[in-house]
Amino acid sequence: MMFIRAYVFFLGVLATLFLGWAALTFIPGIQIKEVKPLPGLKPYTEQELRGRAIYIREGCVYCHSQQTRPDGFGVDQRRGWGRPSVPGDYVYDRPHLLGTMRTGPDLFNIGARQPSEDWHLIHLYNPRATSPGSIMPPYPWLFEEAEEAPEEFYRMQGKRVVPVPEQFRPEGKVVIATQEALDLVAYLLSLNHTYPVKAEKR
Amino acid sequence: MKSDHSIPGTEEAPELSYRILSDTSSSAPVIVFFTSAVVWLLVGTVFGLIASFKFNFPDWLGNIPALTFGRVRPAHLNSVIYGWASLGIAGLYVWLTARLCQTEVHWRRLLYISAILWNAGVLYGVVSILGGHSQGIEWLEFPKGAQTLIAMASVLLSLSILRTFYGRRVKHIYVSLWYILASVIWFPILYVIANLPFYSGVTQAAVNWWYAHNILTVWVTPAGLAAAYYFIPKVIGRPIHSYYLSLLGFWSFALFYNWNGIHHLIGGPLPTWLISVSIVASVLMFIPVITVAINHHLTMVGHFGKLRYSPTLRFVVFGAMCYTAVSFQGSIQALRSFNEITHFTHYTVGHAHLGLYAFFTMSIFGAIYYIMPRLTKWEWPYPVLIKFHFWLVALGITLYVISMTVGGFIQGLYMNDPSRPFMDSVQVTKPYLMARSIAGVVILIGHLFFIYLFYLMIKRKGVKRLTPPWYEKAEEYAR
Amino acid sequence: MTIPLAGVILIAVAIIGGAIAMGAFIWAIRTKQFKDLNTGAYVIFDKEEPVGEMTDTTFGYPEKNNPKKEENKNEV
Repeated sequence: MMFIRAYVFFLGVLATLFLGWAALTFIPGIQIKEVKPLPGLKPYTEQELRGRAIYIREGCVYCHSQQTRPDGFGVDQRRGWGRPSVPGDYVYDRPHLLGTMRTGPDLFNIGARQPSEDWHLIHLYNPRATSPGSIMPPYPWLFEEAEEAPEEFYRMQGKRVVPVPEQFRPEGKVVIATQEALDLVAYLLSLNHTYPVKAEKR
Repeated sequence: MKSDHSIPGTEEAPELSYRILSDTSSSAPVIVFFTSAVVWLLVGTVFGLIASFKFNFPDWLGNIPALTFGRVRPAHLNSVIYGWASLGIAGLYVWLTARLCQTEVHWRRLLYISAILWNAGVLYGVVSILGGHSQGIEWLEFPKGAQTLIAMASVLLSLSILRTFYGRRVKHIYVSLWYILASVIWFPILYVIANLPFYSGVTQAAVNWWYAHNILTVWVTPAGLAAAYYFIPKVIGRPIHSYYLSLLGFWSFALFYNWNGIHHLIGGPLPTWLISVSIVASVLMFIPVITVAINHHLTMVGHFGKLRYSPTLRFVVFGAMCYTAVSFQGSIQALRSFNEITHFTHYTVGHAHLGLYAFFTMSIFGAIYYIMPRLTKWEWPYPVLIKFHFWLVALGITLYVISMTVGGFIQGLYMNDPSRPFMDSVQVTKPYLMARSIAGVVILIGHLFFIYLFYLMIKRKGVKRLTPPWYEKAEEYAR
Repeated sequence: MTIPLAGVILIAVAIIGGAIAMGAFIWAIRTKQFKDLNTGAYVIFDKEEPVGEMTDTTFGYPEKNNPKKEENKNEV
């Protein structure tokens, strides 16, 4: 009797977990699997994928979401952050980076809202150079410092000089973006989901 | 029941010899688990504090890649969840299972291997995150290698506990044991399922948050409740008020809690029915929570004066009260109209700490204060330091939760006001984030007292525990 | 109208799960699992650590540590 009771108990315990799993991940998984990428959605390029890996490495997801909500739930629409996101927008996302914090703004359409490569590079080097009052950390290891010289000099060597305002960079130095910084910015600029959605089933 | 392990001097009371047997046999593995848990507590607290100060001084330590916010924050979360919490839970489960089954701990070697694998996994994982090798999925940042180690460790722990349960000498399975048994079955399964490499896009988001919320369902909350159900009646010397309610509480908990996770994605790009299901389940959580709250309260009624005498009771009762608070808050937070404000804000962080610290960690502190003297046969030295520990962490976490709750709510209101620039919602949180850092410092000081006491306990400094003469014989017997 | 695959699975799981749960419940009633629910609450006490006595007094002993007699009336 004692042992039957224990087995019934374990059966119940397994059943509750299984039910939750089936309902919250398995069934929606089947439903979502039928989702096709939206016609306007382009797969990431190799450079964008490298940038995405840096986005993950530096933990951007802990402060920035990549999901926009419909009108009537939050004011994403009225802030001009783009149409509500749908499953078809995320088909190429592995791992997903939806995020659950907005210590900083949503980045689902950052490539459309802020298309300037210079702006992003300066902002990553020191966020307070473009956004006074920001509490975002700086990422100086994505950049190199070099002796002050005309931009032409570096461009000849294939290097990208970042136009950081003088008070934000070490005296007598210029800031040069590394490949990692350029990759990350390429990824950020690819976050542009302004293409239309045909009335999709949600 | 005939005692086949009778210890001289305990012929009159076989249960007594069982209790000695279980405490003595669980001693070594439980001390190993608790000691490593305490080390991870310190590590996790320091990471948490660094992350918190980064909000106040974003350029502080700004040129060290390993200490950037986006790496320290997951390092904090993972070292407290998989280090402090999990190893503390392992110690609690081993000790409590042996006691409630009135038997010795079986397969102890598995427990030592489990402790080694678990520590190795967390260390490897945390170092990987700091080194930039996170998998990028919240709560599952550890690289595959670290996850494999932890999965193996948790299976070994479960096997040992189930073997001990199989060798039980009791007919009645006490309510704490239900939570433990369910937990050791659930956790390895959940951990492995969530780590399978099949998911991408929004499906992965669903799995992610199903898992992240469920680790509370299957691992953290059962441990806190098992502790409350055992220590409150045991310390005050009064059986739980209604055993029937605890039965109802357990099954409704098991049924509703693991449907909650998707409420982290309200408004997100997932099927609406899925989110609605999670909201409904979150609200249904009122049932198990109210049954537990009523049960614990009615057990304590008339005995609140005993809080003066027992550190265990203080911590566990504080934890149990916060369980009610955090669960009510959680159910309300899942409602769309409320979630619209608090989603994406620091309010959620406050909620998480009310659950994982004010409820869970306080309960585990209480458990450790009860268990350690029975393992080392040594009394806690300097009870006054325990009082310091209690008041510092109690005040610290209260300040923490209040500042994050209020700050996060205002942040949400600003965020939802399109006439304000987004930057306003950042600026308005700054004083609250500073208050949070101060709370973190207070908590760290409290932890230092605790760690010092724990160190003295391990070193057996202080007063020897006054034990009946049969205790010594029991020790000899158990060798 | 075609029922989506997810729906079929959901219904199947619900029926099977419900049947098993019902079976377990009937078994529990038949074997009188719900009789005598209160004994379980007493298994954590014994002669050495009986009902009415505190087991942790690290901060000092209560002045009056008399077990309240009325609590023992439920004892089996």
